[in-house]
Amino acid sequence: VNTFVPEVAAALDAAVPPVPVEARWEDVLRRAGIRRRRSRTRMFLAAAVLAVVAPALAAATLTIAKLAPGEPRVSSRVVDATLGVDATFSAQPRAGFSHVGSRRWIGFTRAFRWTLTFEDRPPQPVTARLLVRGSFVTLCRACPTDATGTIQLGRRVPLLLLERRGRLTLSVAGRGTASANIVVRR
Amino acid sequence: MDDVSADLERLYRDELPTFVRVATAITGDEEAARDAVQEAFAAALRRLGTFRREGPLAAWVWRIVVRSALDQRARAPRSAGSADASPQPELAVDTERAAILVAIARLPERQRLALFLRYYADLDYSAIADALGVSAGTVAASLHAAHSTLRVRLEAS
Repeated sequence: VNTFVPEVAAALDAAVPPVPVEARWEDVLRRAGIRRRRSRTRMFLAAAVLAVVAPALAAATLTIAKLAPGEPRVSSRVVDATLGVDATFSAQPRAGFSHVGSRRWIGFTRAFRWTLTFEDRPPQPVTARLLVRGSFVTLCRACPTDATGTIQLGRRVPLLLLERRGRLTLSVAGRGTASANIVVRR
Repeated sequence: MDDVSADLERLYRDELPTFVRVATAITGDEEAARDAVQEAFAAALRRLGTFRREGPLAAWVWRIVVRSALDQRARAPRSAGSADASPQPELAVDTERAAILVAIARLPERQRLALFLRYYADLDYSAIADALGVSAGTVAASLHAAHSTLRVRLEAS
């Protein structure tokens, strides 16, 4: 028999009335010294983006100019043969990278510092844009000879697009495969 | 382990007000009670590997929460004190309730804890037994003794 006495219940209810309490599970995790795990899918996507995107920018017809220990960097030489515009795009992770082996690296950041350097001043204004899932993020308009900035690649599949009258597209398809695609339009 | 961890989080989100209420009754201080419950769940997370699934997860967690609240009360300075003042009689709205609360405050600890778990958490004797680490028979005896004491006190008032 689970006894329940109404008078006692009423007295206890008055003593400590029920109050709304905000759940703070993150605080519990922090106190336990546990960092919330991401789903496998998210982790896979993050790993794919981090491990593939930056080198893939330079992977296909382009060259990896520098991948020095402690300083992972990708550099892409881009050439618009039609317009005679030669440029180099490079991206370097801002933080959180470490080396695994002599020529491999793994990242924990999606933020990249980028530079776009034209060998000569473009004859026409050049706009460099990042295409993410169909949406453009402008890197620079009327880019100077040496343009620089920061991009946050996020969880998406990025495409680098240098667009002017002739268009040069460097794409990175998802799930670890990389491809370069050059499209020149008049 | 991940399943148990998810169950633990679900229990936390579903029953947090009840855990805090019982802890408040034990500590006599709502803020300390919230801290005790947060600490208890953190401890439960850390010790999840020791949960043997021999009983309900909730009972295992209740045991940790009660222990955490008792520890919290022991750490609290006496001036803020709660050991012999929980729950606070002055919060009662009439003399009969005040009499009951005073009587509850004077009960032996095990009886008081059993009362809190029975009335605030609506646990049955078996669950209270798991939470307090005693037999269901002991819980029944404790609650019977508590009710007898309270009944005498009520009749006297």
